[in-house]
Amino acid sequence: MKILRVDMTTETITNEDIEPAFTGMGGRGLTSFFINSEVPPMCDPLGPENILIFAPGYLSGSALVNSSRLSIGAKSPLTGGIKESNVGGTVASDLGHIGISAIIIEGKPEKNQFFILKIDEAGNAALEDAAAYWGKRTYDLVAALKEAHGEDKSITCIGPAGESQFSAASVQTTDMDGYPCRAAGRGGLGAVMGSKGLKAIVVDKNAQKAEPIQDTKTFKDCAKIFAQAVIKDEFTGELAELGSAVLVEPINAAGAFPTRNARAGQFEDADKISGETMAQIIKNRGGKPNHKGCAQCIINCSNVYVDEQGKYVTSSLEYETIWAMGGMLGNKDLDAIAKLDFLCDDIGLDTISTGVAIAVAMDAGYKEFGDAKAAIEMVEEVAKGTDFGKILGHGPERVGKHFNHDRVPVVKGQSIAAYDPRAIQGMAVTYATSPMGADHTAGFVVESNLEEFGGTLDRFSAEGQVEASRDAQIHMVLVDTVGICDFAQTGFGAPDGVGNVCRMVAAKSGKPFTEEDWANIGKQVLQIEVEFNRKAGFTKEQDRLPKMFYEEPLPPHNKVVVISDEEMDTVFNFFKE
Amino acid sequence: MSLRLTIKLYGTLSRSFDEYDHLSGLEANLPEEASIHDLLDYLNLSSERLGMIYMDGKVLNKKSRLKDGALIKIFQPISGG
Repeated sequence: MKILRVDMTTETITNEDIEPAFTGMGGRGLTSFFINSEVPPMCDPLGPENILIFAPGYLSGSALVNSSRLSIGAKSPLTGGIKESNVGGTVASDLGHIGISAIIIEGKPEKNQFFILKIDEAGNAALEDAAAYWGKRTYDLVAALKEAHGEDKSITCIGPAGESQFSAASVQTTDMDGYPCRAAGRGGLGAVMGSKGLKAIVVDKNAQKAEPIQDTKTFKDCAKIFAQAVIKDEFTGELAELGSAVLVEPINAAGAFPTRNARAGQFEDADKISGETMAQIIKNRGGKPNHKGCAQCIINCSNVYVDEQGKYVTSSLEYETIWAMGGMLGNKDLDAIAKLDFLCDDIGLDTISTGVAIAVAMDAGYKEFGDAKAAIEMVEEVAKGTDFGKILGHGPERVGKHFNHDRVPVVKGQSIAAYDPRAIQGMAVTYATSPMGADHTAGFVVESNLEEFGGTLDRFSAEGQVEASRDAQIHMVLVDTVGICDFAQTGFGAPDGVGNVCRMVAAKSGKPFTEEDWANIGKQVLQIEVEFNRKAGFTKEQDRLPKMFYEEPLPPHNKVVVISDEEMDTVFNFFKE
Repeated sequence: MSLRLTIKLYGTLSRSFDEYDHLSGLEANLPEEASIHDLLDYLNLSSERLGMIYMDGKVLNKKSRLKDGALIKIFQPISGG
């Protein structure tokens, strides 16, 4: 396995062998280790000292199901801290097949120099001039790149928002159909890619030489056990039929669906934007209510949303987007939500940050809640680079400052996701303390908080929440390091589920990898992430939620966040001196 | 007297109801003293693993009484992010 290092200042590419210390590492483990050792914590995230690193999960490219996840890392222009955001599609599998563990983009080109990075099936890489592509939105860009380089490519790219170095800019990548609809949305990594003058990475899909597995028999056996557990789990069936939008109604019913910039926990029109309703609409119009979006996927949680004429609108319209562009805006128009999803993918914007930024603007009185047309126009303004677009493109915190409005649901500058921490206290801990900023995937404790879903914690009480979030955060580091899809975590439900995955890591590397190693690496990675943030100027004050969550009771349960500052500060009490 | 209820099924629970339309839901007529258990039997859902059950926006517990004219929402367990 090798590392491709691309110096944008000198336009040179070098190949490095991966150090033995990193055997068994991939994804978030690799991105965070490299950022911590190579990036000066106080540097300008958009300057030459920052690196942008792409790393497929350690098991990406193997025969394991649902293992095509690409971690992207850098110092974030949105949070000012360390960042990892991961994305599905096909590119992680392809890089795994080629035998590339990581691509490190460093330095910065002269002004007005733009490039694409091309990687062929043998792993040879070259920078090519991209001046002709600069300015293109992602769907047009992908079409043009495929015309020039062939259909059989995975394309990872930025749109106008990344070029403009906006803090809500995403990195988009192509799905199984070749549409750039999959996003590494969080943390503004598209802006870092834009700062490096890198418009796209074009990766050949034809590589045959998957990285050798040292013990193929064990690997196959364990991969089979994992796949069977995914298939057997009933949530897989729900996702296959309705996608992640299956969550709209239950989370809304639980009073935890932040509505109108988190002024309420229930949206009265949730049934109009639910997974059940969406599936029916898509079916009636001849779209695809379920769809395989990512390589190696056996869940098919993606979808293809079409308009009344049956024409393509967007793919993989997901729960978080439906919330950010729906409930959060008081918008019950599912067609408008689909259009907003497409626009964000096309312009290269995080749907969560963008939706929440619009919600903050509406809350401040700039436009009415429920005005879908205004929301669409606001997103278009980002692409056009109008004065307001330049504010919105930087996310909710910038919008709040502009309107001098303090109801801004962010931690470390990054917005919360579709679970209100006042109705699910465990998520308050994850949002507040994750080194990534408010991030629902960094330590998902929704099920353990909802008694009705088998959880054992009181979701309105502080008791046990720190422990639950801590365990989930440690576990997620490894899920994002091996590159398993969040929705395939049901595979851990197999008997000795974590041990089973550890045996796959060991079977691939040929070195022992135990459950103890799993937990230790999780702790170690979290520690270097938190330490990087400290050196970047973060204090405990950044591990707090905004005051709206402590002071404003959330209807219908009328609760506030009850986790004390002292409790928040014990989440990482396992760090070593 | 009997209980007239409107039932909405979430996730994949509607699979075994051929004519189920999510926008209108199902109508159920049960004896006045029927319990939640009776309702699940009536719908043939007693052996399914279920999540929350809501009546007019409130979570039902085992002791809750069903109300005539109520909208009942039946969910599956959830997971994911």
